[in-house]
Amino acid sequence: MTSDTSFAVCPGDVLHVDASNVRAGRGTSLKDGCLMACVLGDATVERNQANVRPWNGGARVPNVGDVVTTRVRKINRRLASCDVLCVGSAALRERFSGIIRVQDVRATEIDKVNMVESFRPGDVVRAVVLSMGDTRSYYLSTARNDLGVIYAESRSGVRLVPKSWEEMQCPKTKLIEKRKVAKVAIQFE
Amino acid sequence: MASARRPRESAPPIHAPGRKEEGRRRAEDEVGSGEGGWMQVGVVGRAPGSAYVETPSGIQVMATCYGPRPVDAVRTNERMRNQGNRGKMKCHVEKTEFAGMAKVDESIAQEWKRQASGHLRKALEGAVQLDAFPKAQVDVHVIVLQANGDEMPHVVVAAALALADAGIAMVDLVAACHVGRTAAGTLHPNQDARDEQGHVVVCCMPTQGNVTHLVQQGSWSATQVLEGIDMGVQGCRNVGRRMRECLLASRS
Repeated sequence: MTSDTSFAVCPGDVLHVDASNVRAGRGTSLKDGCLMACVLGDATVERNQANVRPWNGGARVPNVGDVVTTRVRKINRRLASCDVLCVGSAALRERFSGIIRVQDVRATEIDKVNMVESFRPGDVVRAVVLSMGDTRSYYLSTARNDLGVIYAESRSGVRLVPKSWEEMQCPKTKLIEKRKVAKVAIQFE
Repeated sequence: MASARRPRESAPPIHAPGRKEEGRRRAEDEVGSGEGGWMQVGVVGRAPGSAYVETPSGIQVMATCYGPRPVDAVRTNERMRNQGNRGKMKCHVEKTEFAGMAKVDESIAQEWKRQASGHLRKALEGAVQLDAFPKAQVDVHVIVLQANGDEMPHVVVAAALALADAGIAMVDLVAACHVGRTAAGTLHPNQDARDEQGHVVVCCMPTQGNVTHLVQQGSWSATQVLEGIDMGVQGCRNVGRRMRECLLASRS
């Protein structure tokens, strides 16, 4: 098996590669010196790592360190409760629950954070998974420049345009609304 | 993949009057023997993973797999137990009221469901990698549409196919096989239920022959048990081959 070819495998199939050179990547496991596939998919070897890309993708869960896309469900003074929708660019099968605590909204002046001026219900927020959290929710953080609100609607229902890291403007009414805005590279279509 | 009868073809119902004799299991009908039978995955469009298993002897089983989904911490003890880095797997086995020939008492039916769900969970636990989805749960629902008393191996096979179809990480597939013992003491994987004095259902992971679950009924001597398990593991290897063919053919 080379990096050009891929091989259809089932869980339990032994991947015929030299286990001393090749690491176990996604969808594989090392057992008794043999690399075995764990999911139904295409097995490839890339850069000395054997991966199996599942035919039915989406069996993912958020893990610590993943950048996730969430939608804010409700807020209060202490936290913003969100539904985690995507991990990276992969949509999850079901919505997982996450919370952004007030001390994790931004990196500076965390004792002066006003949740109402950071997020509103319905905003789409990019966050990073801090920890597995409690029994109900993951703990998320937006304390980075590239994390925060990436999509929000103004009170008139129009998409807000980011003005700075803490302000967004409605193009229709020209009103400024405060949010913790993510600094994302603008892509012009 | 050989198939004696596909679900799309119509056939008179197995329990219709006048067909009683044909409801008996024939020697070559068992899934373990590698002949006949039908397996297909992806039969339920909405579910992430699903499978349908049918045998010419009249067993029809459908399984679906949902997840990984957030753990439903509804009850207090659930919340307490939801610690650690492992996911959960919940198995629900149901049998339709019209599955068997006779009407079953409600309490017996409930007891069967409870036991079958427990057996299925134990059979699959050894294979599913729960570490791959921490803080999440996978639900496996199996429904027995038609049965003749020997549907447990097919329940396990259908559930394992549905899990693989859903992309849930597993160490290996789980195959299951039934070995019956006659009054004379001979073992046969395709034993007719009427002549059986006991049976053992062997659930094993076919690649390395690791048995994940074993259910034994009747009185067996020690050597018979070992012989029965060996035969079961052999039968599981055949079943595993067919499961593998079914999964690889499902690519679309």
